[in-house]
Amino acid sequence: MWIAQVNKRECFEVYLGSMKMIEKRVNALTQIKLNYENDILLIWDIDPREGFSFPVLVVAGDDDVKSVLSSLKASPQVPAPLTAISRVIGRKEAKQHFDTESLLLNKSIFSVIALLSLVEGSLHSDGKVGLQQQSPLLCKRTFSYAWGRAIGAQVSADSFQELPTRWLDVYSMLNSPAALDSAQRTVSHLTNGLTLLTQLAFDKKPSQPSGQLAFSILKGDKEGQERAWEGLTAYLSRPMSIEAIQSMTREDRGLLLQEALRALTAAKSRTEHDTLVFACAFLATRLAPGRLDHFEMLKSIGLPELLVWYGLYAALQHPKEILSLHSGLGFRMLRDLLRDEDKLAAPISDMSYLELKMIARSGLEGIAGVIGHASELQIELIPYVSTSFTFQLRSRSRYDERQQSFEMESTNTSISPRERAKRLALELSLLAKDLPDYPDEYSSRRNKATKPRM
Amino acid sequence: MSDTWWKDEDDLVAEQAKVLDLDEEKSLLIMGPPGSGKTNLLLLRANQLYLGDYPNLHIVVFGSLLKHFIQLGGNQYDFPTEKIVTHAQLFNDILRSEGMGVDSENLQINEARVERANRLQELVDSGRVGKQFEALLLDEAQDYTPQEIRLMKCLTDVLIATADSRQKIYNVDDCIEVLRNCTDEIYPLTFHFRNGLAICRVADGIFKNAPDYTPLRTHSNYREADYPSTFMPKRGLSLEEQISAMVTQINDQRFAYPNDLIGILCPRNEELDIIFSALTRAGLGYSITRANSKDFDPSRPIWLSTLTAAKGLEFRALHIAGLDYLYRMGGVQKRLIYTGITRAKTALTMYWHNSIPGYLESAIQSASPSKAPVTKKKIFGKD
Repeated sequence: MWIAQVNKRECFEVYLGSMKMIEKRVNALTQIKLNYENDILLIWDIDPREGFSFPVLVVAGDDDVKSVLSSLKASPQVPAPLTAISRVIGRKEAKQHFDTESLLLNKSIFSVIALLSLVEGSLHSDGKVGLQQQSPLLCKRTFSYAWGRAIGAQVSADSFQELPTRWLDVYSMLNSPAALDSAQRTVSHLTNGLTLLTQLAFDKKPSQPSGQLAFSILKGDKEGQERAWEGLTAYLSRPMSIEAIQSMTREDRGLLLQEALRALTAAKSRTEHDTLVFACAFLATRLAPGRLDHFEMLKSIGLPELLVWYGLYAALQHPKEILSLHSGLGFRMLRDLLRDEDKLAAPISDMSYLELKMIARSGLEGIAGVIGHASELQIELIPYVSTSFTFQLRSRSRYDERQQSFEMESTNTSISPRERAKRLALELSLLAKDLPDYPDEYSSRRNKATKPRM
Repeated sequence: MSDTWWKDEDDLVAEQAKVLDLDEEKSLLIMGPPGSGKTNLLLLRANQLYLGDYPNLHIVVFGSLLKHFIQLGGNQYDFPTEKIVTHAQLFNDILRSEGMGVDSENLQINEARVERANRLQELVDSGRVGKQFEALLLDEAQDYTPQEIRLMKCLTDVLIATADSRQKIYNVDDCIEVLRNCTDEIYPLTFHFRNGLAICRVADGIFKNAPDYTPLRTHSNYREADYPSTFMPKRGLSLEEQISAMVTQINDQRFAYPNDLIGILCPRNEELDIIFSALTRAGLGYSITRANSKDFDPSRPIWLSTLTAAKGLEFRALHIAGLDYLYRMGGVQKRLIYTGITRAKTALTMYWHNSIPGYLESAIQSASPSKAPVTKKKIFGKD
């Protein structure tokens, strides 16, 4: 890579097309050093002295990221969106990615996240799109997918905190308020499950029985599962061990779940409700291990959190079987979740979240011309975590539509009603002259044929 | 329905996976017990041939119900579902193209079947009809006549057949020897995956004294730990009581197995008609469908069928009712009830009022928990 340490002004000059001021300070290095204070670091993946290119990465002070980006965007000569070409990040984030040793991740949790992206896809559609109708395209537009990518990229704790807000923020820009309301609820329930999975990915033992159950499933610790499960059975009419449930027939397990669901819908306190959600979700996974047969039935209860935990426990217990469902869609999602992104490569998204926010101030109409895929806007929500959103302008003016045509006739759009009537009359009279003069006989025959008989 | 059809290769044990490694031009006879995956292997082989150099093929099944059932799973394969045809349709299409179609309207099923075979034989013998297909794949081949098997061999380059003589439920000449002669290799399957242990015990009880019978329970790969299986005999119930008991259980089963098929089988159509009406009155009208009727809807979760028409099907939960009439099914009744019982995967309930054949009573008894010793009082009807 090639690195140059520059000040703000020099940075602007580079983006205006001149390398003259900094050419001598461009160094070929193998490692990014972040031990400087005020300067900006420009990083290229090819030698910019051999042919002009924009940096793939710009590292600015944590408080300067916004101002550097807005200043660069101010010039019409700078490509827009700029963050489609260069990633602009803060020093703290850069340290997280380039100065911190990667932690060893438990990759088993990605199977669960892959499934949660399917579950979430179904929740966002208000049940109109079932699990079987999900596609990689829909799943990659989910918050779960973004979270999974964030775990894979090992972003900072601050970034994880920012992620739900940013995802919802973009979602709100592109969707109706009603859809946003439902998405907020969904994301809120998902965040609990995804936070737990993040803990599990980094091998941290959760403190709550619901998390401990997930932890011991992941570890294959049967005794731990029984202990954690005991903590979730307090409100069941027939509390019993996992082993005892296992020895029951599926029909009897079904009856147990039906009782638990009745208790859930009659729950009197938040604690009772939450405990029963976990218990019902886990019980449902014991009815048809390795399958999601009860998804639709649980969906009819109307509690998104129940589906989130059902999916989470199901995928933790039988990841291979669950990922194989629906022609192996889960495996396809897993592939995309686990794909490593080269941190020194150019961005892959249409723009960063920060730039989208800047553009949105003056309306989103201009974005249509810069997106890389039809009806899809790809946003880098936090550095190295890109996700897609459905993008369809709600109201596009006829004038704008015409602008997209190359052979558009110039028309006068401000014709008065009187003028329009005159033109119409003229056109009709010209048309009348062109018509053949049919004999009366022909006309009467036609009339006979079309008139109803009396 | 959800795990009736294999989703990936991991569901195959080694003996089954090997079939896919055999040369494509080989004609095969795949033999195995109920639930050993014969039909699935046939479909996999069909897919392999279709994607390879044998696109002109047909999967030939015995009846239209089995055709519908296979078509449910066939959607996940690459060959079009139209490739699945009944043998009557296959023969008739060829006969019609030669102007010799059989109008079966005024003929009994067996008469029409013989007539079709004879006319096709005539065409083959005269050289007017020869090899028409690159591959024919026959399911439930044990129920074809030797003549039909020989004719199919004449129509195709590659013949793949699945068979199990224990499931032969039509009173026609045995064709297994001809099948052996018409194929290059016999491929035996030992293990089965469908029937839970409780169900295996009843099925095994039926043939327990047959010298060459291999008990199902000794080669079961069913996941008993995940899905403990159940068998419930319900005796002494009138048909009305049988239906009432069935309704309660079916409602619980619909909850427990929301994506799986539930079957209701009877020896005769008369009892099925009564059950169909009663279940409709009980509020299950939107879930049930009558197999082999013009209104048959394979997307419904509860299928009603005669034992005969149910060959080749499988159900997560199965109810066999009206067993008092099994006596009337003639010489094939033992194989018929064996075939019926082995349609059940996890839960089997059998209902009758007064009496069932002794071999079945004995099979049920050996599969049920042992009863208290018979007392003198009971023997003399005073208990």
